[in-house]
Amino acid sequence: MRTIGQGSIASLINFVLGFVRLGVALLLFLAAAMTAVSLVVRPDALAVAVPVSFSLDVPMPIHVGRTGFGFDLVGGRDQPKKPPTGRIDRVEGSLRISPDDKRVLVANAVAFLLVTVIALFVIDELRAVLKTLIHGNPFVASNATHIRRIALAVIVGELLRAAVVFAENYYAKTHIAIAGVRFDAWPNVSLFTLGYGLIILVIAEVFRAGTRLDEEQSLTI
Amino acid sequence: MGIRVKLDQLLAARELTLTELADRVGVTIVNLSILKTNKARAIRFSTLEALCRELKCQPGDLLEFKKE
Repeated sequence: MRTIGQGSIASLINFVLGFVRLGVALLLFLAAAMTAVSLVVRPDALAVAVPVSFSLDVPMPIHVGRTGFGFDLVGGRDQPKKPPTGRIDRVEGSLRISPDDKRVLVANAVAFLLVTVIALFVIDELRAVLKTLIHGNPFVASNATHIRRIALAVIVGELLRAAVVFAENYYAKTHIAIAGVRFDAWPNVSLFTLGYGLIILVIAEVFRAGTRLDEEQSLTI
Repeated sequence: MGIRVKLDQLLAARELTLTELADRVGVTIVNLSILKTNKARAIRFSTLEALCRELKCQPGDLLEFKKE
């Protein structure tokens, strides 16, 4: 299967992204509605899922068993004499609560809105690039700009995600108390995602250079 | 651009049209037009050679440098 041109992989991805875009646009509409509702509704009337990270104050010894294949070799050579133990150290997940503060509700709705806006933006930029690939000419000046925007959206999106998660972790740490549970709040930026963003930024510059070379080639008589 | 192609002057002097020259040189009219309107970024030696041959001139007659 060809990678660029009509009926290529680029064309297939563009087709799939068309549906994804529709879904994200619906989510954006939902997020906008949620933001509007969060401004008028009583905070305890709705439940929100707050991302949390926590440790257990009370050590809870656990047994590490063999998942095996449905049978164990009793007394076999590999059978440990004493099962190893472990304890729950740091857990990440989400906590569904009815917040006492309206700002939590609004912040969650706004964060969701921003995520959908960024996702829609990235999809549109990606589709713009894919359209040039379908037409068989990847080296057009606008592609470098589109790819650069995608890179910046990935980096900004990751920083935003980390900021929102940190803020909500901090909220959980300062406002929620559960016996034996200690909530943490650390800035948790994914270096991998930032790395991907930087790689895409470099690819954008490669595209810019490619476009320049292609233009020079076509204007060499 | 500092380098200008004086193709229009040479064509007028030789009483040639762009189409005729394109046929003789083996370059498309579109590309010759790019050259004539000074939009070209570079010119191949083979193109320059063919132009000089057909216009009976030296490269210096075809190109000039002008301070911008």
